[in-house]
Amino acid sequence: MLSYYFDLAIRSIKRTPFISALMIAALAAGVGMTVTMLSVYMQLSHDPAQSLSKQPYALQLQSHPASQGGSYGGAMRQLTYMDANAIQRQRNDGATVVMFKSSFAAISPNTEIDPQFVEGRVTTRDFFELFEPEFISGNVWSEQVDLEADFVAVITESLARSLYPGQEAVGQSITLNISEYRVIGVIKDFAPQPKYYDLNNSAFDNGESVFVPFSLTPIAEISNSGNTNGWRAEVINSYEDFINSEYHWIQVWKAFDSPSQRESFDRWMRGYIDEQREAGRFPNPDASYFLRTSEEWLEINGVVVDESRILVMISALFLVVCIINTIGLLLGKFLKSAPAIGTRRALGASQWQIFLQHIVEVSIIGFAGGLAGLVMASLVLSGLDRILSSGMGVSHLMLTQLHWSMWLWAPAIAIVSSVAAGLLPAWRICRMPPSLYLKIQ
Amino acid sequence: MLKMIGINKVYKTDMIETHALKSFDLTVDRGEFVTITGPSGSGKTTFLNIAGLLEPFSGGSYYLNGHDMAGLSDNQLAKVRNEQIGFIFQGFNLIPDLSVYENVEVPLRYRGFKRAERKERIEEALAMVGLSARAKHLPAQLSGGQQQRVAIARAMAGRPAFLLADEPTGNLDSVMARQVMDMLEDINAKGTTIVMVTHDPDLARRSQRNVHIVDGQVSDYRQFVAGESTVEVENA
Repeated sequence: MLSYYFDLAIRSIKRTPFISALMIAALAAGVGMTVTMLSVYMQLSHDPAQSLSKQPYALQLQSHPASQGGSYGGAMRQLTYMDANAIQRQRNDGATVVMFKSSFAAISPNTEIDPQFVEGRVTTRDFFELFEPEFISGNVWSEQVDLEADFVAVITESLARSLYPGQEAVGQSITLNISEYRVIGVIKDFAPQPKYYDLNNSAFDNGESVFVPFSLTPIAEISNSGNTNGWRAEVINSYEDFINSEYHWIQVWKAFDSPSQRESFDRWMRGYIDEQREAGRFPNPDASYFLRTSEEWLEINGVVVDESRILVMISALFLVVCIINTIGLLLGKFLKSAPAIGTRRALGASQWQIFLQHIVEVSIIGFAGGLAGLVMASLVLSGLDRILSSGMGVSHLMLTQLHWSMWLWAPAIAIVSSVAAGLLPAWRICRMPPSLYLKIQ
Repeated sequence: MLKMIGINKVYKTDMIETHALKSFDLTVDRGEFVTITGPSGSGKTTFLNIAGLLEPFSGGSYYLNGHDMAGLSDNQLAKVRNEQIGFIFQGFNLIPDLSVYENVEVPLRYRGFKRAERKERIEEALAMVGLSARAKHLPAQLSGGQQQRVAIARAMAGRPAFLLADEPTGNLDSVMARQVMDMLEDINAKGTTIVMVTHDPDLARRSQRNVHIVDGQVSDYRQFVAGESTVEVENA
C-alpha cells in the first residue's frame, strides 16, 4: 500500500502546486536555518583528536601570575622557546611535540615553476607520531635530527604535485626562503578541523604544507607567523634575543605510553619549575603546569562558544514556527480533499489507512523541504565562507563547510518536522465522519 | 440480509436534539430490491448512512448478514464496507484526479488484491457498464450518465452482496436515469441486494418493495410486482 500512498501523494502535490510549494519553502527555511547552525556547531564541537591512537595533551606553564596574562584556563596558551626547548630535550618521558607556525616562500629546483607562498610548521618528529598525518612516501626525520638539526622537510602531496609535477618528491631539494632543504617524506594533505594542535589565529584555517625540524629554529632563524605573547616588556634586537626572551610563541604537546611515564614527566616538570623559580625566571610563587586533553583544550580556547549553542536553539525555535505555519497550510490542503477522503472511507479505507496516506504525503513534502533546506544551508554557508575567508586571507574555512552529517540530518529533521506538522491535520481528516462530505462533492 | 430493530439516531448540539431515526425497524431479505422514499428531512439519508456503516447509531440493533454491527472497531467497519457493501451516490463521488480505471480500483486497493486480480475485476466491471474504452479518461471527461456508470462499476468491482444507492439518478436526465435503473435491475437480477433512496415514485415502482419514511419512522410498505401497480399496502 505504501507505493499506492506514494502515488496518491505525488498526485496531491501536483494538484496543489502553490500550497505544496509554500509548505516546502516554509520547511526549507526552517530546516535550512537549523542545518546551517547545526553544521557550524558540529564543526566547532568536533574533536579530531578523538580518533588518534594516543591521547595528546596540550601543555601549559603557569610561570607568572595569571593576572599578567593567563586567560586560557589560568595560564598562557603557548610557552617560551627556552621552556619548550628544555621540555623537548627531556626526551625520556613519552612523545613530545614542540612547534610553531611559520611561512615560507617555497621554490622548486625546476625554474619553470613559480615560487609559492606556503604555510609551514616547525616541529619535532613526534608531531607525526602523535597527530598521525598519513605518509604517502618517505618518512619523518630521525631523533638525531631533532637534537642536531638538518635541512630536511616533509611536504604535503598538494605541494609535491605543484613543485615536482610528474616526479617523485622524496629526494628532491626544496628552497624555503633562503635555505635549501631535502624532501624526505610526503604526507596526504593534513588539515584537521578544528586545528586543535594550534588554535592561534583561527581554529579553522588551512593546514600547513611543509614541516621542518624544530632543531633548525636558531640555525635558520625561522620566524614565527603565529601569535607571540608576552607578559613583560623586553628589548629584542636579534633573533637570539627573541628565542631567549620570555615571549610565548611555542606550542607544546605531550603523550604518554603509561601512567608511570606520566608520573616521571610530572616529577621532571616540578623539578624544572622549582629550578626556574629559584633562578628567578618564574615570578609566580605557585608556578605550575597543566596537561589538557584535546577536548579540554578546545573548551578552554572557546572553540565552542555558548553563542553557537544559543544560535542552534534559536534556529530550532524558528523551525518550530515554520512547522506551525505548515500545520495551518496542511489543514487547509487536507480539508479541501475531504470529499474524496469521505469517498475513500465509504469504499473501505480505515482511519489508519487515511492517516497513513496523509503522513506519506507530508513526508514527501518534508523530504523535498529537507533537500531545499540543504541547498539553502549550502548557499548561506558558501556566502559566509566568502565573507569570512576573504577577511582572514585564507582560501576557505572548514567552519563554513556543510558538515557531512547534515546530508543525513537535514532530510531526517525535515521529515520528522513535516510528520510532526502533519500529525494534527492527518488525524483531523481521518477522524472526520465520512458521511459528512459524501453529498458535497 | 439487513435487519434493523428499533434503531435510533439522535444528532445533538448544545441547544437542540434532533431525532433523525426513531425506533426504526426494517428487514431486507437477500436478493431484494428495496426503495426508500420520503420527504426531505424524513431520515432517508441517515438510514442509508447507518445501513452503510458510515455513521454510528444511537440505539437499537443492526444486523448485516446475521452479524451484529454494534461495537465494531473502525477497522472492522471499514472491512465490512469494503467487502460487503457497494455505494452509489447521487453526485457520483468519483475522485477527480484518478482515471476511470483508478477510480474503480480504489476499493480493490483497500482490499489488498494483487495487481492481476485488480485488473481482472476492473475490466469486468467496466465491461459490465459498457465503459471499457473509457478506462483512461478522467471523470471530468465523461458525461453525468457515464460517471454514474463508473460509480456503479466501482461499487460492483468488489462483488458486494449489498448495494446502497442514494438517489443514483437524481443528477441525470430521464434517458440516462433509465439506463442506470436498467443496470441496477440487471445487477439485482444477478443476486445483489439493493437498497435505493429515491424521490421519484416511478423509480420506486420499479423496485420490489418501497419503504416510505416520515419523521424518522417507517410510514408504510408497498409491495410491487413487476409490470403491475401497487398490489399491497401494509401500514407500518
